[in-house]
Amino acid sequence: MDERLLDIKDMTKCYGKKEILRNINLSIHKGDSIALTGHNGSGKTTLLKIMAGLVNPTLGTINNPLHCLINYIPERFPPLNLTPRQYIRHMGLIEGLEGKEISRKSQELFESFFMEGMDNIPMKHLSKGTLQKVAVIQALLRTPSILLLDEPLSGQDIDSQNLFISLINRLRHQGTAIVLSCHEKFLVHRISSEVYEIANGNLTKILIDESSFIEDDTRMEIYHENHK
Amino acid sequence: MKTISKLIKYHIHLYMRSANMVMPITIYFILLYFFYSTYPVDIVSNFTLTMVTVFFAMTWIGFLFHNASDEIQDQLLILKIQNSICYYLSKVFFLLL
Repeated sequence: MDERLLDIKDMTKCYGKKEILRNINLSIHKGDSIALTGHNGSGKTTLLKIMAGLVNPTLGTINNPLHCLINYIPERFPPLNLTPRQYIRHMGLIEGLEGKEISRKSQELFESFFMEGMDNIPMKHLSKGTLQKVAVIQALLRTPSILLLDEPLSGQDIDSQNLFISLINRLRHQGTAIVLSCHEKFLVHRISSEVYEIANGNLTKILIDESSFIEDDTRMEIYHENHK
Repeated sequence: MKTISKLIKYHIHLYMRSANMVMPITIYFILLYFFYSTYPVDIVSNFTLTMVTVFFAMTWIGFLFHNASDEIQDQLLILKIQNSICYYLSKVFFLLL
């Protein structure tokens, strides 16, 4: 479990003269589950994109020594003119999967995410929550070494949230490192082993406040009861 | 090269599902109709005008294709193929088609 997948050293990111992230040091190991919290605009998405190699840091280095596969689930998924099935097929082919394997995996994932009947509707007509599910499915076609999730539960219904959490925990046990940015404490509690807060450009490790999670979980249980 | 051809297929599928191509092609054919239906037909100047119209329609299609691409989707695809040059080349080849 100590295999190092990604190393961020003395990383700083500036947009113009504004320093978004300052002197960040972070190592991601196999099976890690890291939550990034912080206010809107604090730099969570930027940090995830830098980890993915989609944005270059202004200073510092990002090392991916094993050249491991990194997949990213964005917060806002574009409503394209393709149906989820067509889109997932293209993504699978681009990733190098065989047609039969894509059909089997996508069918399994569509069923798991309660998307039967919606997989042939153009994505531009789907709701935000359903688009988010498509974003999750495209990221899980091949098991990544690192999965980056940007506010993954936004707009998802309770059943899908629970399924999502169990799926992520399963991936984690298989050795996939999870890094997610989120505001939901119950998600942090149920998925993450380490929590970091980004404030004023600094990344600080915070201790998990069990009492607040218990309170949050109780709130979730009440919500579940009310929605049965 | 295999990845580029798969990306081109994806671009073609996505682009054909949009209505982006309709206006440039319609305008192109309307202009061609006007150029070649006016008497007397001046072959040389009409060829020149056709070439200018083709250039105009292709530029229009290129701009529409560029505007239609979503930044997040671009990033997801670059992450999947782990090669941004390969991705942008696929876009260039699609436009050349």
